[in-house]
Amino acid sequence: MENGQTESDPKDLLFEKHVNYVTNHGNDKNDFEYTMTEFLRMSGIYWGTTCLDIMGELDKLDKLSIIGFIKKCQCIKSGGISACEEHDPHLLYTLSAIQILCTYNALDEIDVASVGKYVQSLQQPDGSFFGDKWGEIDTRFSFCAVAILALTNQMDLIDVDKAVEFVLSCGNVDGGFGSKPNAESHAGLIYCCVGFLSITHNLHRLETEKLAWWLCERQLKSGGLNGRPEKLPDVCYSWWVLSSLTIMGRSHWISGEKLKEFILSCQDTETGGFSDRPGNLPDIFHTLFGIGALSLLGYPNLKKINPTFCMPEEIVEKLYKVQIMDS
Amino acid sequence: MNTADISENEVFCEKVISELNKVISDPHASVQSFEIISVPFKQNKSPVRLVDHHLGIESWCLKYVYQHAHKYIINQRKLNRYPLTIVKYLNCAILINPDVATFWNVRRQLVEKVQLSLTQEFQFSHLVLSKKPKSSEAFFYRRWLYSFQSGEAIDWAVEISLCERCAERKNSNYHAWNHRQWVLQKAPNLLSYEIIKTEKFIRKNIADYSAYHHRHFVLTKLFDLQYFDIHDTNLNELYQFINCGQPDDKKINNVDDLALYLLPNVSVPSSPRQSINTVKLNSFYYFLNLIVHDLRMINTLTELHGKYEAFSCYRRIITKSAVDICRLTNSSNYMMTEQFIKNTSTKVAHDGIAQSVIVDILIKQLDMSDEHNVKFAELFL
Repeated sequence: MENGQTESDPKDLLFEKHVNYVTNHGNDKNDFEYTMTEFLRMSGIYWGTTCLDIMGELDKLDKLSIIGFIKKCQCIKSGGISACEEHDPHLLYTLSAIQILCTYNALDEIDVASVGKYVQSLQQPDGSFFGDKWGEIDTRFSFCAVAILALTNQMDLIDVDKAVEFVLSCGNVDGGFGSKPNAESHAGLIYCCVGFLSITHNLHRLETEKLAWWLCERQLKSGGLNGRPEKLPDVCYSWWVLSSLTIMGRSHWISGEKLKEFILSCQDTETGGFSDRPGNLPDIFHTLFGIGALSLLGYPNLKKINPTFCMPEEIVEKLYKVQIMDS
Repeated sequence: MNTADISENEVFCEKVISELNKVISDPHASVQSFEIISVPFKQNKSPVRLVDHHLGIESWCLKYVYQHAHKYIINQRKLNRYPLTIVKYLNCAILINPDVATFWNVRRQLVEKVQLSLTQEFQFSHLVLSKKPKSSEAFFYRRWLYSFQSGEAIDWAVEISLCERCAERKNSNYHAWNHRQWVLQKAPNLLSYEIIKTEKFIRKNIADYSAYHHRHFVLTKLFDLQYFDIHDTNLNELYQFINCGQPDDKKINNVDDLALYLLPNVSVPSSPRQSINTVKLNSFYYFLNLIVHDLRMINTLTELHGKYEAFSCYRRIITKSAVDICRLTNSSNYMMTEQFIKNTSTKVAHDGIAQSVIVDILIKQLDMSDEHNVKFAELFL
């Protein structure tokens, strides 16, 4: 079988193993790996909490210490949130922090108004967003900006119309989207753009058929999905492609059964957790996106996940109404 | 570890960090690349190695050295100060872990205070890219550094070469190709050279779709800029493409017939020759000739290497752009001079009056026994 899949690959979700994998992740704080990944710690915590919440095991993590950590990461000067103490704030980690706080129903633990001002300060005249004060532009940051503002109910702080124009200007003739105008179409960035349009209720501006077709072309013989032509399948694209298709009401355009098989074959049967491809080492990032995609596919005993925010539906429902197209 | 071990470890780390720094800053060493050498256990010599301008560090010491450099930088941040000695720790930490934006940001602050020179920083980010050719932080840092230089003083071709090397070392290198587009935005005069460069690259890296995407960007951008090569008006590929399978008496072999053939709406008697914008016309021919050239290239590559997804994706997308541009040039005032448009109240041509035959030929060269092409044509053409 291609891509390292074998007959002995697991056919069911190793529920308990994954719970243990996520719960024990990062327990050894003196670990070299722990220091090396410090720069994305906040996102790591978001991947872990969301994953456990979808599996109904959120109480395995220590809520108070996580909230305490987030509070320490908010920058007093800018209002933005960093990945870790003594690191610089960035939209990427600000969104992760907000998502965790929403999961814990604890938004009032931080200064949400100054988070809003931070996001507002990063919008540019053409509608795009800097990721932080140093000025890099990317459609990922547009997604982060509106996601943060939607979850904290402060959307009126930015020029939404301009923001939409910028995102649409990153569309390509193949129907996909890239990180900037003219940048190659990429499934991860398509998720950001489709998610952005779902949050801003502008899905009708998409060329849905073309984009959905491009996304379908990402499914390979193994059932797995890649993010661009000629690339290998990767569990995280299971999430990005499938969530985009779900938002556009076209998830039935790919084979869910084959995708499920591929995702399940990426489980680590010893340690728990998912890797990018069968046989590789697992990590927390791919574990969330594996579980998230299985939830979208309706796998039993998983909470329903919201395709736009990648958070449990029951939490998003209380906070914001996203736009989803009918299938 | 007991206290003696800790201090021994610190002495060791300080030594390695200083040694790395000495090599990097030594103009005579002129280090070109950095690598981590896989050596699992401690050897009885320095883990820093320099061979012919190539710098390496043995993997076994990374965890000690990185933790040490990391601790120093974080402690300075806690004290909210950046002594110049922080640079050697930053060099070490970033070379080992180029993804840490905060460490790059410290460098930015030092550049702003003129404590680090631009030349030094270009060299350092170059070194990082030799280790990690897809480092988005390194590319982003270079764009930021360029904002301090005036446009005329920059040799952008050097930056294109850097992108090319990074793309060669890492397949589908999204950040390298994006950076290249950014350079071309700054230096559009380099766009025409990309025609030859990207073809060479594609022939060498046939499955790298990012390169095809970039070439498509270059071709359509050149058309938008109304570019054509005064010294190369050879349209043989285009004639060959159009005449393929035609009887001799129907073959086209001069520019007048070509205009009639490609632009039936524009070449009507009511629009005399002088009313046509010749720059746009030449650029249209030039573009179409390149598209046809690429379609032939894809055929050749398929014969040589068999089927590749990149081939079919590229064929589809250039077909789409060519069809769009043929329709555009043939169906509106696009080809007319401004003078002519001003003097005529009605459009010369309207959509659908005379569909250019070239559009049909372009669509027909897609293999319709392939269901992907059928679906593509239905959605896009």
